Amino acid sequence: MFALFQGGCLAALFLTHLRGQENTINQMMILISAGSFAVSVAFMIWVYFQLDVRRTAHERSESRIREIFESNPNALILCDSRGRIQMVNRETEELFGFSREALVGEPIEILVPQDRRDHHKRHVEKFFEDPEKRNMGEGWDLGGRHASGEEFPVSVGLTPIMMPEGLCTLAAVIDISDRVEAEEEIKRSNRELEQFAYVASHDLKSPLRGVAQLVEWITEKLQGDEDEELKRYLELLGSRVDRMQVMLNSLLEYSRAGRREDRLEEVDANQLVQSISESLAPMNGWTVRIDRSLPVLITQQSALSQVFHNLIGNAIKHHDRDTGEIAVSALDNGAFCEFSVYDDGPGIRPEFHERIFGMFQTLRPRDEVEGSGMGLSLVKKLVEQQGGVIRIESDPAQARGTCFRFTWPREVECRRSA
Amino acid sequence: MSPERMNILVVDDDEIDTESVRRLFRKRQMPVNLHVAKDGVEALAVIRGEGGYPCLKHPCMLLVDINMPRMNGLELLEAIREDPALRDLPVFILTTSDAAQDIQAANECAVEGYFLKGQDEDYLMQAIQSAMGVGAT
Repeated sequence: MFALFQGGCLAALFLTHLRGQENTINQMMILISAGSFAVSVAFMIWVYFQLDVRRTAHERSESRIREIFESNPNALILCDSRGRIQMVNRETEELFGFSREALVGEPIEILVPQDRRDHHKRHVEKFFEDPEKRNMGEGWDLGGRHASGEEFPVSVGLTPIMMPEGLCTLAAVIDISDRVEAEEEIKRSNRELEQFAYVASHDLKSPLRGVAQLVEWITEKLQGDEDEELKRYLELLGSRVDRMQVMLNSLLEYSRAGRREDRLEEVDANQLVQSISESLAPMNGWTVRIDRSLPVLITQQSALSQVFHNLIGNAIKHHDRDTGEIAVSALDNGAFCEFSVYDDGPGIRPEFHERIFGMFQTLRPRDEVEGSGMGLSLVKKLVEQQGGVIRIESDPAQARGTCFRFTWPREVECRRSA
Repeated sequence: MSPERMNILVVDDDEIDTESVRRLFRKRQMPVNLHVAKDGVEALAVIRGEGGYPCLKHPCMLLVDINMPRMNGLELLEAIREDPALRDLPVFILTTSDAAQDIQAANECAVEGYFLKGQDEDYLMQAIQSAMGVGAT
């Protein structure tokens, strides 16, 4: 409006000027009006360009976001609160074999295997009751359904997003077929290894028992014989057969540790450690201090019992004195409990800390300390089977003593369903 | 002592194990006639007197291993329990297998006892003695 007014003034003055009625005031008026007009036009042009720049920036940013959405390596699916698909990216089309036209507006269950659709619907409702970023259905096997009907395992991350049309969910879907296949392969190969260890250790026991019998019978026959060398050889033969029997039994036990499906029960760790201590160190100079904080767990008693039995047994067997002290305590570590078994023995040098958990590993000649060398590897296997970890703290250069710390779930059931 | 010697058929494919059983009876001076079959197939032939074997004389009982070629101990047990003529034969198991399914399968076939080689021999001999009516040692 202002510009039109200015333009009008300028036109009137210009006409007056043409009619020859010149004076100084008029000339000044003309100059002022012309200046104002120029400023107004410049302002308008500036405003126009400003708006244009902003619009272009907005458009550019929107297209950038769209490109990021489109080119994302995950299948991205935007759903409204009724579970209807609002938007999908290229990867979704590729992964599920549907065009985006076929998907937009459809319920998300179109991408879910038939038998899991009801469950999924309930899951969607639940998500919108408490919308927050999370991984979908952790702990259960999620599946996607291809347009061809083929099903495949997926992992899904969910993020709530407020859109102009209301609260929506952005689902990022990844095909995890390769991962699942690799996991299956590892499981299968582990099962095979366990089966192999079981069969080998079991079947080797029988001929070895035969050798042991023959040694026994020959020894009986040689009674009264004066050949001391022969007797000594037979003795050595017998002791090696015994050792091999111990090793095979340990291997058998180790391979069985993965197969046991013992029932879960309430286990008072205090009582358990108490009875193990009494059986291993019955009042002969060994003190086993058991901290009162040892908890009650819901677990497989045999597994936990084996762990304590081996750790306390080792502490006594490998002690360099005839008497000593062992201390068992526990720390609360959330869903897990951290147990520690400490002894005041000679300690284990740091360079051996890894090796002692290996199979058939011993740090002293077997003639000095009889043992299969499987004790700690069995402990490690049992602890890790429960989702726990074990570590050792010991450095004889600093101080005597060894402390084994391991974590064990308070409630096995809770851990599995978590 | 029984008027007739007990005939015991040891069914085991391991010669050392068979010898071990022989020594057990000898050590206890138990008056038995020991016969040996290497597997279930041979055992059935011996009990039935087939394939050129003289029929196993009564009274008799079987001492059977589980893991054997051709016909294992459990299959032999089933065959015996299905045969009306052999159904009541007393059978003892002497094996290395402590697998729960083996023990259960054997018990379902009404064995006189299930014993582990290398550890239960004393119990086995007591059980055989009482089954023979000689009484425990």
